[in-house]
Amino acid sequence: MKIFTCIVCPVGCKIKIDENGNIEGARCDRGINFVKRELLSPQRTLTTTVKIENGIVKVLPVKSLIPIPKENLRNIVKEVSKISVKAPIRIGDTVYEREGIKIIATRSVEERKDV
Amino acid sequence: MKRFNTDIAIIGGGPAGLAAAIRAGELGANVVLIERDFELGGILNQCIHPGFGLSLFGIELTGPEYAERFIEKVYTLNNIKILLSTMIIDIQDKIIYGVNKYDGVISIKAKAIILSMGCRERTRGALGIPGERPAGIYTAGSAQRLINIEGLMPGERVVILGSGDIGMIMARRFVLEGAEVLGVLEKLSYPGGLTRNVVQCLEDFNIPLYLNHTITGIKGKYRLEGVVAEDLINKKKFSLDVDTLLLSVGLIPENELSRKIGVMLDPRTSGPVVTQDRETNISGVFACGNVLQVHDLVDEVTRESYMAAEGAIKYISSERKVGGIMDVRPGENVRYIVPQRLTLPIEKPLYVYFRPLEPLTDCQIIGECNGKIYSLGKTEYARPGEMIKLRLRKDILDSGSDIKIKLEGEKV
Repeated sequence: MKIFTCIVCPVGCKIKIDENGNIEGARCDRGINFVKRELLSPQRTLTTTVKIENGIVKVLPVKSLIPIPKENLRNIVKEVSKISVKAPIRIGDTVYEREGIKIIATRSVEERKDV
Repeated sequence: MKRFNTDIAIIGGGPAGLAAAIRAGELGANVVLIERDFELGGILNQCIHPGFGLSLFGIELTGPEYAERFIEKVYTLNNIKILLSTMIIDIQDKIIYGVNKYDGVISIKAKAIILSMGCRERTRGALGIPGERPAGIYTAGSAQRLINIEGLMPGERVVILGSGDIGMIMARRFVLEGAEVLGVLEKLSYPGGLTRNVVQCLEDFNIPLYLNHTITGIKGKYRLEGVVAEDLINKKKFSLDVDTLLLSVGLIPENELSRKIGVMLDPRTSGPVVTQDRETNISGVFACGNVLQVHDLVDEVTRESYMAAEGAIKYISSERKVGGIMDVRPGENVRYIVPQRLTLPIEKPLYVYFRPLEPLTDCQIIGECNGKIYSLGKTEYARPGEMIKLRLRKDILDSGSDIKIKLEGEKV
């Protein structure tokens, strides 16, 4: 038997799965799907920041459009940290795309006016 | 001096102020929303991780995404005047005095005021860790600001004291940015933050969580060179060779302005004592968000702020009926309850929010009112890090007497 703490929402259900695949303890279907994914290929949404030029802020927060395999998180953060974007940026703009992984802006950034 | 006149003035443009402004604006009031930073959004702007909005919108957003939904909305409402980079320095009666670089000193005369100043972090001073005062000791939130807003890396070898959510989230952030995190130390026997953060921030990255541990010494004169950690159960001390110490040891509602104008504070929450409309003891002054009680979820901050805005609208439209007062008090195993005071008549479904003193399982929620005992519900588990929301039954509310709420359960 294996016990997972569901991380889909803040409730944090303790979900048990036994040798026969019986799942217990999930308060909703999202929890059941979470356990199935955790067993096959655990995935996480990646969030980090990238450089932004000429914006009203110094760095741009970004995230992966869809969750990515957990073991790739560190490598992708390293890749993404090399890029730099230019203001203006709209929330949802793609800032990086490679091998099916899409990284998008999670805020809008206006151009800096005082330069 | 530039003078503003408005129906509702809102102090603080984070999630609470934004939600209150939008609701009040949509209901037709003239609003002045005041923010000390150069942009709206508050602490959400530096919370770049996901986990926001699940309960309110049914989708998972990052902090900036959650903020932007509200910021976009607030700028579409013409009856909301937004004052940025403006610091409020005083309130006298219902006149607010502030200062900014565009107008100098300003005054805002309002019929009602909503306090939404948020909270701030407890610092090393609050813990009294002895030792030198080198660079390299940060609250978790300041480190978060340095990395996520300023684009700076505060250190390379990190230990975190306190297992609040921001501490755990920063543990993951430091690792992803290439630092080494030696561990998260928690004085208590259970983690302070949400369980999901123990899993996705610590376990996912093999960051050890040391329960029943604290830090008793600081080494280094100019830059932090190490800390002395102590196992509180076995009374063993050991050194950790780190250049950075993060403190995630709790948040305190920021109530300097509230105190100044005589708002009564609840020592349990460090926030104002409020009614179900989130009105303080000063008539026409409301409070919502982390200035009132430190929340776990921004979604609840938004909901609470809608209540405060509706309360303020009711106040200025003088549609209010004035009846008696019922107090809601925390009983056994309950750390605090909000709202602390109910004003009659109660016209809408009424929810109270509370936290247990310590983790419990198989938990019964029990009400005491007028000498009678009421079973109000049960929950499989109750944790201090997770607020409990409970709808109060009509028969209790109809009694008009003070209520005490307690928890009974197995200690974990």
